[in-house]
Amino acid sequence: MSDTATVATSARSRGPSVRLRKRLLGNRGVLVGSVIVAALVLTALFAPWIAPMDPVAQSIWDKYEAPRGLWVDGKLNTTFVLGADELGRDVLSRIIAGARVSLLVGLVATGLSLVAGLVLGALAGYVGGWADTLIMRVMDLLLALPSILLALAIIAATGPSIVNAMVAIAIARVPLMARVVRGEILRVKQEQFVEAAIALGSRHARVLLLHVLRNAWAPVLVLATLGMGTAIVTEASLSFLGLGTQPPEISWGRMLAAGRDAIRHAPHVSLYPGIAITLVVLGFSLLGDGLRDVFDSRLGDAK
Amino acid sequence: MRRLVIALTALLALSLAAAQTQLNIALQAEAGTLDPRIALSVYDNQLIDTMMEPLVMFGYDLALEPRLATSWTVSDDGLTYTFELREGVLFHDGTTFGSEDVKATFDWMLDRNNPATYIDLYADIVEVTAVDERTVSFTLGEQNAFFLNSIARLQIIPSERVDDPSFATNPVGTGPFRFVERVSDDRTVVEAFDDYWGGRAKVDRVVFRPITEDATRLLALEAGEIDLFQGQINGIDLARLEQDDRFVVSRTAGTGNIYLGFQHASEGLKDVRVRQAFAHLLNREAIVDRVLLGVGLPGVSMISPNTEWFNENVQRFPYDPERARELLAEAGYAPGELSLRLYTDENPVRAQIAEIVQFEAAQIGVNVDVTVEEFGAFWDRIIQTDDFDLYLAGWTGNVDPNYAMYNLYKSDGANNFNNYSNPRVDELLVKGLRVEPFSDEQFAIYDEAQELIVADLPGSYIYYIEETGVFRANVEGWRTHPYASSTFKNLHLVEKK
Amino acid sequence: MLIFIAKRVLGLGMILLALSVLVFLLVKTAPGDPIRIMLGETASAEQVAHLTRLYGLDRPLPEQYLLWLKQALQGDLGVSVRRQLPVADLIAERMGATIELGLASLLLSILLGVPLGVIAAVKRNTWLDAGTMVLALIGVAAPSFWVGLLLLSTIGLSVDWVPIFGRGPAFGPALLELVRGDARPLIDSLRYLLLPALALGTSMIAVITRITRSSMLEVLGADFMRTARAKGVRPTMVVVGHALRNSLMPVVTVIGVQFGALLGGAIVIENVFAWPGVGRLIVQAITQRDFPLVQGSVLMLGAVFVIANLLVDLSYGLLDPRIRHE
Repeated sequence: MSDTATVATSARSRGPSVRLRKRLLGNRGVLVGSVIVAALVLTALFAPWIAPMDPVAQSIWDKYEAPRGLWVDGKLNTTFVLGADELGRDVLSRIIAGARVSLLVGLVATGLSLVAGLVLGALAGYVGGWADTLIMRVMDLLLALPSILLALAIIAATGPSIVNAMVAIAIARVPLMARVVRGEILRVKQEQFVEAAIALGSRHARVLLLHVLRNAWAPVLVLATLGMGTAIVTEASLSFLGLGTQPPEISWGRMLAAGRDAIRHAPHVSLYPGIAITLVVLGFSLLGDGLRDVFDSRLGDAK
Repeated sequence: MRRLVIALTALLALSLAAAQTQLNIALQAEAGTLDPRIALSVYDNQLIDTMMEPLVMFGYDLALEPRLATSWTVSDDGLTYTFELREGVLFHDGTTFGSEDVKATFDWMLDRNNPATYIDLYADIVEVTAVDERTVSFTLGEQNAFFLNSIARLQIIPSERVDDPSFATNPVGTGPFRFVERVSDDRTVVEAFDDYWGGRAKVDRVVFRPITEDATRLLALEAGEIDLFQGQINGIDLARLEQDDRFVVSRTAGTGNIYLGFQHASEGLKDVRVRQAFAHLLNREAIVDRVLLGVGLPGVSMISPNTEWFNENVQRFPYDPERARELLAEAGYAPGELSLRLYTDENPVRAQIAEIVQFEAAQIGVNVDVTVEEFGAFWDRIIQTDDFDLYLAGWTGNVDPNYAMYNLYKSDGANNFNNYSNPRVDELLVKGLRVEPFSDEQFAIYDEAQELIVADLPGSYIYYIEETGVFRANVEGWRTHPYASSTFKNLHLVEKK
Repeated sequence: MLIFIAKRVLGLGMILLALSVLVFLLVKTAPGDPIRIMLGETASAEQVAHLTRLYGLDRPLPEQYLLWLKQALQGDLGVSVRRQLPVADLIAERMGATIELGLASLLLSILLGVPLGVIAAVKRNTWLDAGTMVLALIGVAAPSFWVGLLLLSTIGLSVDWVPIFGRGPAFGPALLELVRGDARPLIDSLRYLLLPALALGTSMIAVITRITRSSMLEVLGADFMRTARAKGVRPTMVVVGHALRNSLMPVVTVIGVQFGALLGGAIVIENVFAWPGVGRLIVQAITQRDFPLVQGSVLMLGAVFVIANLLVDLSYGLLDPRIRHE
């Protein structure tokens, strides 16, 4: 997933929000993406009520039960719709329950990286000078490694767990966020109205918050949205390797790993969680790309 | 088109294979080192056994058989062991095997400046003496009735190579196969040693390939890329292979067990009735059947049931949640009153068992908090702290009752992690080392020890590990060894038709 | 020009040094006693203490780092605690495999992605175009290890000559064998590379397809194209000759950017297909708490990535003079 190369410069005017809303609704990516993301959020929120069976209940008698589908004997079927895993747990219910972990990891990791990136990027861009050099050097260092390698190194240090995975993924995303924020702040800082505000005596912090951030939010939002997808896939990869979410928490990545041993005689255990991951990543991808198209008039490299 | 490609490839392969028979064996994990002095894992030893040999080896019934030693005697005071060495044995490099090689290998192990791994096994040795070319003797500081089992665990290397730091990359031994090459993580190749004392091997080459993923391994077996495999096999696949005429499955009870440990210093577990309750909550048959898919045996004690040491009269704890409930009440805990913490490492089977224990305990009103910790953190906790109540762990390599009990259950045992202490058990364990091996007295000692320990419940034994192996029907002469490290000791007798 | 290169190389050195500190610190904060982990549950405290002392693991941290650094600069990355083999050797044996997988994947992505993108552009707004674009979307979103598992369980299981694990002969030497007249090693090498490279390259194929398509569309509509057609140049020639050549620059840019993701993806794919590369080594090392190995392999893989980025940077500098003089 490439979300590094093209991050937009924002639409200059906040004024015509009606026009913005129309553009948003008119963009297919935004529409489809929003639907998928909304579905994810709703599934995660209402998981205990939506899941047809108990995702945790083991029934060793139903081990690797084949998928029964929605329709059995002419009636609607809710048991083992997508089959059972190695402990006889319902795959569909676990996918639904796993949505919580995916969403949580995505939100926390992205949120953490957002906050850290905002602070660091703002410091670097606004204060400039040695702070800028120092912060950007550290960011470059973090970017020196592919994000999953960095995450793996952090997990090696802290031990595999869902919390450590969230922190590791967040740390891997911070440099990008910081760069974008810094770039935006540098750009907006030169705007005349900002110089005017400072000349008129507005406190720097106020200027920063009110004017600068308000104009820089669009590319940050795009990056955060695309970042959600990346975070979810990274968590799945870590869990797949056994170094992310640990049992008894349910992670799609772990379900894939557990299903791999049975791929010959019970392929459904791996197949459906993979579809879930793909769908969710697709949703955030479409949404992020769509938002970028809407906000943007030209492509540029984040530097 | 596909058939044409396959036919062509097969033709090419055949024409190249010519007259050479090659046995392809899958390993569950990559072996680390090929140096027996620093070997760590089962896989290291499996490979090493094809190329190097110890003085004695474990037979299929775990009794010791002659290998590089043809006979041995023990002095009356039990402190000196004298071995007669086999004649006419050559190393792969052509040099003759003799007592100086035995002395050099063991002396290296005893030197504290060398990074030998399992020094505990040889801690009793005071001196190794090369009496003459064909005789070597070991002098011990203390009696150890099971000393021979330690001798069986070290393969002999040439005395000239003992100080060679690159031995592991080019090992030389007296075994039926000689080292050819090693491509890390891909293959280790050995070929038949023509001058092997036991007769040249029946196959010309053996290629060992590490395949860590179970599914991949099975697929390779079925596709014919692999001829033989010993190790973890999924129960469903095992059942399927047993039905398949193309393959033969070999299985036997192993030398290890997995248990639910109890921290005796824990307030909630001080009362033996609470521990008994937990013992009754373990549905061992169901766990073996459903979690292990039939690969394993329900646990009874720390001794494997297929050894002569096994005492079948120990206290049994059949699955009985009702009884567990009663015991809990007797101990004075009402449902909901008792809360305990269970720790395990990330091993998936143990993680599953942990969830089952939690579930069963909840049914009788005991709250069990499960924490699956990563391996290092788990062992830090168990070994260095008392900060746990229940834990899942295993103990493997139980070739004799001393190994199975001493370090774990003696009050000052090196691996006693849970503050278990029984003075009578301590007495018995010390005495067991001093009496004549395999005498009635010794059997009586270890029978009593088993009864006491099982009743005291430092842990409850969940299952015995079962060793499984599978090979193609055209392979003859191999079967699974209960002591997994020794499984390839007789590869020279294996034929591939 | 030379100054440009020199500056970049110096930066490389500093990043590698900082990386080594980072990796060292990360590894040292890990929980668990590496010697205990290595020896297992049945070892006694005495055994653990013995080896801890011998491996110098009881010395203070800065001393351990400096010692490690000194040895590393001499090419000695320490000894794997688990395997008792030099870390540098273990990595060197496998680096080739990882790079081979990465390059194969890259090549496959270009070979598949560019033609697909061209077809989609030429047949724009038809079902072919829409279908390709949908596939591309899914390709980017689908996790590569899942695609790997799918490929394994479908193609790997049903087609005999496609192996399901491991690596064949190394590609370079196999190519040499071909020159000498023996095609077998090359065929073997490619057989084993096929599924892993395909799985790894899924998202890159998708991205290249999309970029090629949009790039081609831009170029196809451009003025000079109309001029070419007006001058009577045949349609196919137009497409291949002019359009493709001009639309390749964005593709190159994308490749440069995506390379990191490819290397990261290789780590996971190696584990799916038991490909004996550095990625697999890293995961094994982390699982086994083999800290010297984790340290060395993360550093080396990071170094490869940094160097590769440097090369891409330098090539941009070569292609675009403006960048050189910044």
